[in-house]
Amino acid sequence: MMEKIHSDIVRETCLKYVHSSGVRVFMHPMDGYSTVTAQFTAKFGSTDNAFSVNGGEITHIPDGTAHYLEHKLFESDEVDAFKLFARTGAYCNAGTSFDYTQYYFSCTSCFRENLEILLDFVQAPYFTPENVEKERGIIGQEITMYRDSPNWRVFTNLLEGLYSVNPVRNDIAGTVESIAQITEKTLYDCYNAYYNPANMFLCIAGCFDPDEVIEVCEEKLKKREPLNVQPAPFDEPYAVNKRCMELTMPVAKPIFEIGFKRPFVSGQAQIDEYIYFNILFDMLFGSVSDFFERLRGDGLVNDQFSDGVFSGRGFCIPFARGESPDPDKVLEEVRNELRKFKAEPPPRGDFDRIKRATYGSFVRYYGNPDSVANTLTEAALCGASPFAMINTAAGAEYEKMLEYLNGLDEENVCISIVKGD
Amino acid sequence: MYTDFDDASRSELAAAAYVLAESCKKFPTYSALSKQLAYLYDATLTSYIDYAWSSGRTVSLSSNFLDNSYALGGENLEAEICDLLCECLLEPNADNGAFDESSFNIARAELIDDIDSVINDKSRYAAKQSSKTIYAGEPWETPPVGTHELAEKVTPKAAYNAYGKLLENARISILCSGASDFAEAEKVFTERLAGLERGKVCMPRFIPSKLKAEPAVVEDAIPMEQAILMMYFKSPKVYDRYAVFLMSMILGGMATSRFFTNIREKQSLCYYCSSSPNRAAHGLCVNSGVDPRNIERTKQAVLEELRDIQENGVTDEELQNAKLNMLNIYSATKDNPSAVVNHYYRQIADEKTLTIEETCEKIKAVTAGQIRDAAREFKLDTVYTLRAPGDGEEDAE
Repeated sequence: MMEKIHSDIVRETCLKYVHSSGVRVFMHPMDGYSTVTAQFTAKFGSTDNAFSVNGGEITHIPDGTAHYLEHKLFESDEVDAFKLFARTGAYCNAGTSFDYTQYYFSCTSCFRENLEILLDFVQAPYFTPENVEKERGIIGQEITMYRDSPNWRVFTNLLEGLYSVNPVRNDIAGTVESIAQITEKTLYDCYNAYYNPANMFLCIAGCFDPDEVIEVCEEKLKKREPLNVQPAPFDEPYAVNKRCMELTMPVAKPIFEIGFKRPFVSGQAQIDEYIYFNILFDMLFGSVSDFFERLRGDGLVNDQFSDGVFSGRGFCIPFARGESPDPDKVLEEVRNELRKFKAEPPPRGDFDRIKRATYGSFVRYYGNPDSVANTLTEAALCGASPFAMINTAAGAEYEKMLEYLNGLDEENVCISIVKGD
Repeated sequence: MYTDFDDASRSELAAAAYVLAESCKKFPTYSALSKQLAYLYDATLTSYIDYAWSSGRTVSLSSNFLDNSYALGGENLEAEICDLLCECLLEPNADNGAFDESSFNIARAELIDDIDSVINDKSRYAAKQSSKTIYAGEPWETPPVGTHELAEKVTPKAAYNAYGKLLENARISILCSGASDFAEAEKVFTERLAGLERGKVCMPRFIPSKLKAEPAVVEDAIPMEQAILMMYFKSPKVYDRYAVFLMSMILGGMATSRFFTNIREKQSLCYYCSSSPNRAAHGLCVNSGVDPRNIERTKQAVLEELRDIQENGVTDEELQNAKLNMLNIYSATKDNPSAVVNHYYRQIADEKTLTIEETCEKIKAVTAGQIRDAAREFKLDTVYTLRAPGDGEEDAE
């Protein structure tokens, strides 16, 4: 049975359906579009590096396993998934994040056939010692490619600086050493635990018939014994692991990322945290702020300076980042600005302007199937309503924003810096 | 706005482009302009300078904004944004024939930062460094924004002069895409641009890049872990646009391409190996991220794939898959206003403008024979490698 979920704000309706296997399906038909995007997602990311099944012993897996599994799932003992999609012209790919792995396609024709291919290959792992070994060199190259990116390194170093235990501090792809330990058994163990239908969801947006999706799901989704997969608990201290992380590699000007450590929340509270800190940081540090104008005029930051919130299952980090000849001075200015506004709250008019801008940016997500599907997936990942983001942005309240401002500990912060030689 | 290439004014025009998106008389600081954009529901206003075909540059001033129907207060966003674009273009923050010094100094500093920051992205750095050899003696030899040294010399007056010439001589195209019929936009632009004094208007031309008598081999080194191999091929005489697009897809433009299947998946030589055509220069660039020990083997494997198409052509399945892939890309364009704008922007220099549907028909009509013939025109021009100093001198066993 399909449940209709409507948003008066964007005048859109999305459909939710739970397949008997446990897979949750979110559909957002969009009139007047020719594309359809489908994302099949498992709640299995790089942070899931230790788990128990049905209350059993904790299994530890090498860092980078979720990403390795994603690479290998396209293979089959017959025709690999890329070749099958090539025959329909669909664009297909996959991605692994800290807290999920996603397989997706977008197409303008042959939707049913493409959906069948997607559901088939994700449910049919084919791991052998040979094909697992073959991938090691390719993934090793991917790891080294990211190691050459100062923007990636400044970000991953920030996570390492913020967290002592939380596995988000480890690189998504792992290390050359950690992936050397991955075998076909590791992949099957993780697949069997995390690619359980109850741990997966399918999000589709664009030009398609929802009834056809249900037909394909009924035909293709396999039922499996539900498993109780629990990540191993960890005790992350309140305080940051390190206050400063520094690295030297070729960059024109030092780049930095400042992150504030926050206790983790989930569900609607996670959405609130994400929206309110986005509004707050845009207001205090964004391109409209006096802070930005002053620091830019002084040459302390340039047009690369930005702010935002990095959030997922188990982490929420309001951040500011950019390039500066003196990153430590920028950190000092950021903390001073937070203290200043805690003592003397920002004008309500500033809040209204940024709230309006935030609303505008979320409305734009509804302008193409890819971003609508992403929005569905993000909401499903944190267990919130499909329209939770835009509803929260449109209904944001000044007083609640002040609560987030006053609740932010400006001392519990880490700065990650990459400097040139 | 298309304007002819002029080496002396490279960074001057780039600095002017930065200033135009920074402020205007009505909103004289970046902060004031940003506040207005935030008020307009997070509309964007950006400027961009790039090479255009082989003969010139384009300066683009663009905005992305909500459809009027989503404005909570019933505002006419389309008219307001188009008017703001015109303000920035026609009423910049300038006096006495020079940009406002304060705004200009910030813009120039950020232009220099942008030029210098190419080192932060190894692929961008490799592209910039390899261009010096690929396009030696041609406009594309140097980035469209110029160099650090050129940018440092730009004055508020020189940038303003470059801006004045742009308004006088540029071929100006206005491209709009979205849910609107853009009647409001047409009205605003017609009124605001009516008084613009115009001189001789520049016309884009295609001038293919010259093929070297012998391929140039360039090796470059900076501290890094992976190596980048770039191979540039040219086809100066003949260039069958749609056949080359499909050939590039088959070689390294899709998930079942020959480079992906044979070089990455079968031989595990690299993480990525892709090809992309350059229609204006009649070029084809192959770009790969490789283990330094595998550079020579990857190079030979790339040459072998091209040679095979030159000698034996492509299979029916490859042709069919590439067509389906491209048709999917073009059909999907219609769902993305920015992509629709880009589709028409790329045709500004063409005698006839093709709709997306007409472009799809051209793709469908390409034969395997055309692809083989197109491939035979391509010759290796430049091989560029970027890797760590002293890294991977020996090829892997």
